[in-house]
Amino acid sequence: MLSKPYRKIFGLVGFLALLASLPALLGQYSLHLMILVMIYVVIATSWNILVWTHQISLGHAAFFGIGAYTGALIFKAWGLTPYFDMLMGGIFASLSAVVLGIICLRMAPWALAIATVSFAEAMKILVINVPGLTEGAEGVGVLPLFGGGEAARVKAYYLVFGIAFLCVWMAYHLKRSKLYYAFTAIHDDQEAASMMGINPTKYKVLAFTISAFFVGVVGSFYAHYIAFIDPHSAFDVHISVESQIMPLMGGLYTVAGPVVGAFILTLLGEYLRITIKTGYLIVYGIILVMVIFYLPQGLVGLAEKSLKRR
Amino acid sequence: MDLAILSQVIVNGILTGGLYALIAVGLTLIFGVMRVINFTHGETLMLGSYLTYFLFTLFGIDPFISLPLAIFALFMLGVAIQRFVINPVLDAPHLNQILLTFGLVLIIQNLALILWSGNYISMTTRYSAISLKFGPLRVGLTRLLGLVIAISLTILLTLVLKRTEWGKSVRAVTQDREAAMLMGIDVNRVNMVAFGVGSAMGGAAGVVTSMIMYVFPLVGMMFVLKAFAIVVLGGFGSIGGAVLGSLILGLTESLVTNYVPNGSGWAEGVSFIVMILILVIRPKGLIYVE
Repeated sequence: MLSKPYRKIFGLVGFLALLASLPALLGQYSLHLMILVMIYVVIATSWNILVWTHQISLGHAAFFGIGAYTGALIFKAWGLTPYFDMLMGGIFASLSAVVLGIICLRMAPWALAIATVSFAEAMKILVINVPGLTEGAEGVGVLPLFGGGEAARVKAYYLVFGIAFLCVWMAYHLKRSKLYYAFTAIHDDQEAASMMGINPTKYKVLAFTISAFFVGVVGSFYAHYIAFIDPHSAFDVHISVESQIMPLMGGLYTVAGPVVGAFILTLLGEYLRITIKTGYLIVYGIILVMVIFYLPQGLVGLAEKSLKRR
Repeated sequence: MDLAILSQVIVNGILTGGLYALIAVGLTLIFGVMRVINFTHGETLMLGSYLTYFLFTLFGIDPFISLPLAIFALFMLGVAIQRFVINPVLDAPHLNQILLTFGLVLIIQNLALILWSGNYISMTTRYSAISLKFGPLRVGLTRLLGLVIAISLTILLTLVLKRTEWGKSVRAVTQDREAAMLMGIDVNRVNMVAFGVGSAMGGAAGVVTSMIMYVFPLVGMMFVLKAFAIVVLGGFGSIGGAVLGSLILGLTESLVTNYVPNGSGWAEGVSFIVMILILVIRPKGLIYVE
């Protein structure tokens, strides 16, 4: 019998190997779903990082949309490699997060929640109303990533898998760094934290910046992968909703939680969308309410509890 | 600049602002007492507007008779929501509360979508098309009556808060929940009734919107975001601030629609931009109550 840390590492390596071999096992449609899963792994993980500082964003769609539009518009203007667009998507999303963070710094958590959702709506309206730059409600077409077709989808999967891996890996290391203690310190008690020499302002904005970066990157990836982006899909409220529900269901404040939540809810959401069609989000609502009432630690918390009991 | 057009634009702004005030005042009351971000407030509006619509189309009941019915029905629903859903999480982190009311919104909204489809519907009463003339100004009768309803209910609520025993307890809880509890105020009861009254105001707003625009499942979401912007800029829990914020928003939207090129597209974003601007200048809102 292997000792505990080894079991953990073997499990993780096995899981990653399974994910890496998926293109050989799955059809095109299933692979497309897995690409969406990876996108949501990134969004949910990033959102969860912000929660470490107890800042609640109800508008992560803003960063996704900014990333998507940055990527699509830079590609249209210069036609460079998609990797450059994705980097720029992340950078622009982070820059917007710095601005938003500075504006909202002195707000209470509830006011911030409202300001973020307003920010996403305002960005959508901005994009619709400056057609000279963004082509407005019509949307922007982009050349398909890796030339399109079946082989391109496999490449796209590996690319987004890589981005998701980097994002989760970063979250894992962040959680074990000094930064995490600073983040949770301002979460627990801002005044005490500032007396200990932790500047809450700096860390709040920093958390915002980190949280927005990877969301911007996958936003840009999405625009390239779908080969088209329009204001309503780029700034979809749905993205903001998923970004909250996934970490909550999997387990807030944990690294594995958002990943678990993204897998379950993306696949469940797709299944419900096909079977129920109208109003399938009602199931999301029920899950949300049930989780908050009966499972506030999420699935990861539940698993840890039952492991300890054994 | 044509003065007649300008005054029409201002009148339209005030009419819209009145409707916003009706929505925002209820939300402010709930927020002030419980410090809970209540996304279901928009859904009380949506339910109020469907109630009015069905009473009218199925039974021919006039919206003005539906008004007290909607107020009563949504009051009961609000009390139930507070008692069974909000109360258990009052001491939980803000995040849980926000996500919980958001979950309720998803349930109510999608239930409406399943039951009544996503189509835009509207009703035509005998007086829907009547428009009154005041000199060069034209005002739709239903919009004017909507403003009258908004003003009367807001004044009524203010009087109740100022003059009655319950109103005093509400103000006490708004200022300091723990101190109020120590003074022997039944905070649970205050919470429940405040949530009911706030929801009833939302329902009344729904009656008004069903008369002047369309009825559809997402109508609440559209208004609740603006109402939150108003609560934030009005100073979190101040009724006067909420009314002032509503008027500012209504007027700005109306001015932008008419005087900015492609203004009707921009007007939808005005609330968010105005909110962010005011918060940069006054982070605690226009009227700050300690």
